[in-house]
Amino acid sequence: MTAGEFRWDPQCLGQRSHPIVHQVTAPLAAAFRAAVDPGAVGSPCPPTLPVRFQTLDVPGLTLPTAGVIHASQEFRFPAGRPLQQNEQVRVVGWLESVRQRGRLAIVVVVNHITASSGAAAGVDGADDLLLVETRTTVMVTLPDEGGTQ
Amino acid sequence: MTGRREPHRPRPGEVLPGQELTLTREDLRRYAEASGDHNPIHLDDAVAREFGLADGVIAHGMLVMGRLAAYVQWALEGSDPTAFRVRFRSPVRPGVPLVLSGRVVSADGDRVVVEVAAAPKAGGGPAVTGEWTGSWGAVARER
Repeated sequence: MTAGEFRWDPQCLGQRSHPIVHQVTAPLAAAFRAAVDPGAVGSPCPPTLPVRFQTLDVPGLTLPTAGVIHASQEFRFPAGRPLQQNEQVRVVGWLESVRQRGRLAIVVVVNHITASSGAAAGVDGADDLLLVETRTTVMVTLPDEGGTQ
Repeated sequence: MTGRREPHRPRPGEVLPGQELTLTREDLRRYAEASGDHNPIHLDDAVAREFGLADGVIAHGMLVMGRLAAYVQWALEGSDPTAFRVRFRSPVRPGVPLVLSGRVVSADGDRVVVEVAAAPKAGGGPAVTGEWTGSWGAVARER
């Protein structure tokens, strides 16, 4: 198994990924709920369901397959509600920051999950409702030379 | 976990009832299927050891976060988050009993902020800590 190589391009900070449209299907939500909320005490779409749709495949970032640690995760719900079954959402992500501490690179990726307006699906429409903002921080162990930019 | 309870409006400083959780390998497999995260360090002992995890597979951090969310929603029946963030401080292995806990930091009208943690029952520092900011406005729309 190869570890791959960590690469990032400072010029790509903030550059949004191509939007991807997802359907929050009832079976998908139910399977996720069964995994994280087997007592079914919360909402049909659990608060962490957006992780099912977020992406770390963002412009300017290549993560290795080994030596990556999920350090923190954040969800914000500006619309004041979780995702809902049967809604269509659009996801874009971008590299927010990369900091280096010794042999660790601390990488932050942000995703915006918006209510997709159907006809505009696949287009990064600025007028769509932001449902969830996710912020994912991973720590990457760098080789001695400090990684590749 | 038990069934529905009356909505509980907590007070600042209140400690929420704790809840024990022991994840199984089947829990990890189910989460992998549901989340699409099939990283073998969560599913295959040999691969986990290859990546330096001497005791074998570890739970998905996001599985623990998801269980913490369900815990808060159980303890504060009817609260959905407006924000939820966690730090993954140490790995969680299947079969190791955890205690999920929460303490109310602030409560004002429909808004509540709760510090949460998942810590080994045997002691030691928490594996996951975080903060839940919730309200009671959202849940009723879908239930």
